[in-house]
Amino acid sequence: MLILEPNLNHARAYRLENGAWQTAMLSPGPDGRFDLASLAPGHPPERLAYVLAHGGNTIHEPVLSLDRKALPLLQACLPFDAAQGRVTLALAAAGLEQFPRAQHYLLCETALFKELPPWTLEYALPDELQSLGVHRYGGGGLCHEWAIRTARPALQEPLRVISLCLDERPNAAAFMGEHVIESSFGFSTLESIPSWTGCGNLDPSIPLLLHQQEQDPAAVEHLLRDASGLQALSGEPDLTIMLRSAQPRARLARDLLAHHLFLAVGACMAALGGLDALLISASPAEDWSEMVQRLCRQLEFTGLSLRAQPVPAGTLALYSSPVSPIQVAGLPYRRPPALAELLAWHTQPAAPGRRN
Amino acid sequence: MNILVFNCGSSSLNSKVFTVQPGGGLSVAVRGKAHRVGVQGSEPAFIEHQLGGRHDEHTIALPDHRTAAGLVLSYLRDQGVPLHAIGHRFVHGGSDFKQSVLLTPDVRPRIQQCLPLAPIHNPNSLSVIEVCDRELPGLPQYLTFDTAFHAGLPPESYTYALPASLSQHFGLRKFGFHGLSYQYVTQRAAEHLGRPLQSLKLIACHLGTGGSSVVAVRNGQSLDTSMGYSPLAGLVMSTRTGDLDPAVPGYLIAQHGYDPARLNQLFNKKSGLIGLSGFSSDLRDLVHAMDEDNNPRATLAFEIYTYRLKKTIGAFAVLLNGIDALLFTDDIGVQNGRVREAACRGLEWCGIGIDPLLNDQAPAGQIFDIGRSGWRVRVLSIPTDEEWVIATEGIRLLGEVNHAHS
Repeated sequence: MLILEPNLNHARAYRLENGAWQTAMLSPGPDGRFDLASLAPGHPPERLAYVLAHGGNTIHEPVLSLDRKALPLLQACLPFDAAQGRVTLALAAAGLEQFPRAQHYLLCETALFKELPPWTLEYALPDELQSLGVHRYGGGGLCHEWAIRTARPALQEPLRVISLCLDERPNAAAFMGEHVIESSFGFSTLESIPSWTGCGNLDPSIPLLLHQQEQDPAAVEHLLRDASGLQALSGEPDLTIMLRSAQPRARLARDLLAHHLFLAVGACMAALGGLDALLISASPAEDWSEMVQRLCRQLEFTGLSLRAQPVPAGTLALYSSPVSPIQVAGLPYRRPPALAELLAWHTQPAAPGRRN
Repeated sequence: MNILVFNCGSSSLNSKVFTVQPGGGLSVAVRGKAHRVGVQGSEPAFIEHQLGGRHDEHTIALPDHRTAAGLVLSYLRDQGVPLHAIGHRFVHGGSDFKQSVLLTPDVRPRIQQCLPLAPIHNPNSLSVIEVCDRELPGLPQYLTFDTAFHAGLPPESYTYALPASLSQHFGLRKFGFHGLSYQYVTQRAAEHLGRPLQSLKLIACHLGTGGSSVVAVRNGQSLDTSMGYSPLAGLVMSTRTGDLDPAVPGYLIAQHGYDPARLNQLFNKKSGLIGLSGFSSDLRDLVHAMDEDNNPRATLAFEIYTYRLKKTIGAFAVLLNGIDALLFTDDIGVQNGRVREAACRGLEWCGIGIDPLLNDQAPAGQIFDIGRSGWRVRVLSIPTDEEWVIATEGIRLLGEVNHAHS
């Protein structure tokens, strides 16, 4: 199996070899085409999956079987996230051409949020702008769907769940029973919590000011998406170092990240009318332990209490004490196997008794 | 001593003359309001004055705030009201003004620098100052700033996650607004609760007919607020969009050919309640359309308005690690029980519950408990008085000057 996802103008390739996932970075050639065959010389993959960051108003399924005829669907998503969408399109075109006998799938990050309630979905904009597709699409749905499916069997019938994905793009999604009702992401993955290179919440007048100063919209998009965020604040080379560094700039970045996590979780709790379970999919978990503890301390006023040591519950680690009104559980989130599991869930018949 | 206070809104000018009593208390000797200043529409502009038991109202052209201020000064002169100082509300003091200041020669060029920061409000305030300069030369004037209340925001709250060079170049940071109102209602709430402000964790919602915001206050200090670099951010407002994904302007410019100036106009003037409903920026009209006509767009606009307010309250409750009291103020905050009820529904997890009967009965003109008896969080409807804060700031500033000269 080969899973491919955009990473700025490049791609990350995850390949299962001898039971272990290997990660490689892939760059397009001078003609913009990706050479996928070089990833597995002599061992063509039987299945390829391409992660699509933004499905726009076109892709409504988290996992979609892909063939050449479906490529125009991908094309239609480009206006919503041109930078990453182009990479996904190029990867899919290359995969379909280079591995014609394989099965191909699209994994869409926004599809989970296709039925957000109208008060969550809409911005307070006039018809003129709403009709152009400006509304909230959510994001990070692949991680959240995996977390919810993985955690449900181990938790006590939670009705109101917040799934918190802690990686280079930290974000939250709120679930009322089976339905997702809120996401910290909005029209794009820039909204809400700052990411490693993305700006997070800004006063809307700020991007307008930047567009007034800079004639090229792509330059502003690059600035906000790829040159801002926790990296710009901290000046550190990677997220792991930032999360542990004693440098003042890194501390500010951590405090700012914690601040926005508190706000995002509080907003989701308000949307849900309370909270039964908080699922934390942190990657890698050890880097995020201090941030998770800060968040849990911040929620002590709700009665949330933690165990001295987490205890295993199936694949989860239960952080909350037995008397805590909010269950807090950590999931061992590793992106490649999580995406592979998700693909399997969607493409294979459910096993008897399995909750999908 | 009499202090004249001017409070410039975007299309109104409030004025009050406060008399400082011998014991230090304040009483209002004269109050006035100019309505529909600079507004071209079917309704005429008018100005009203109230002195003692007498109320005067005149329909008159009010093309700008300068004209309105001139009429206020003429009225006071005609009525023989002596003035000893004039205080002004200046919405945006930028990074320069973190507290109220006397209008001295060195301050004047600095306030010029702040004009672009609040283009709807600050130039109006400056024009009123210029009228006072002309009509009452030599009279002490001073400025109070809505942004000053938020001057102590912690870095993790005021910092945007942008490259530092960019933030410095454009002065990009969260400033926050409605500070005079928050200063008033948090002090009043502390008195009402019988606890020192320095021991309280409060969320205050300033819900105006034009702009609205929420603040999280810990020990008297602003910890975070929903408005940001400008008054466009945060809650849904009458014509302003509030928070919006930062990628939206770029999408509209790159994919649909909008220019930033047009978007600025749309986000500030055509969005919010008017954008959602398609027919009114006034929440009262929306509630009427919901009740009388079962209007679905009005219903959705109301739901989005109250949902975004509720989410902000929940977010700030977590930020404060629980709260002692939730305050609702300004016109919508004290007059619209439906908004309060909808915003608090589902916030029981943070100890917030509204008593429906008390909420219905709450008088707009006085501080009133509307929370459920015995619940952890007190919920108060509390009228604001920005002019009172401006007057007390003047007494403090002028007292400091007198003390320095004695």
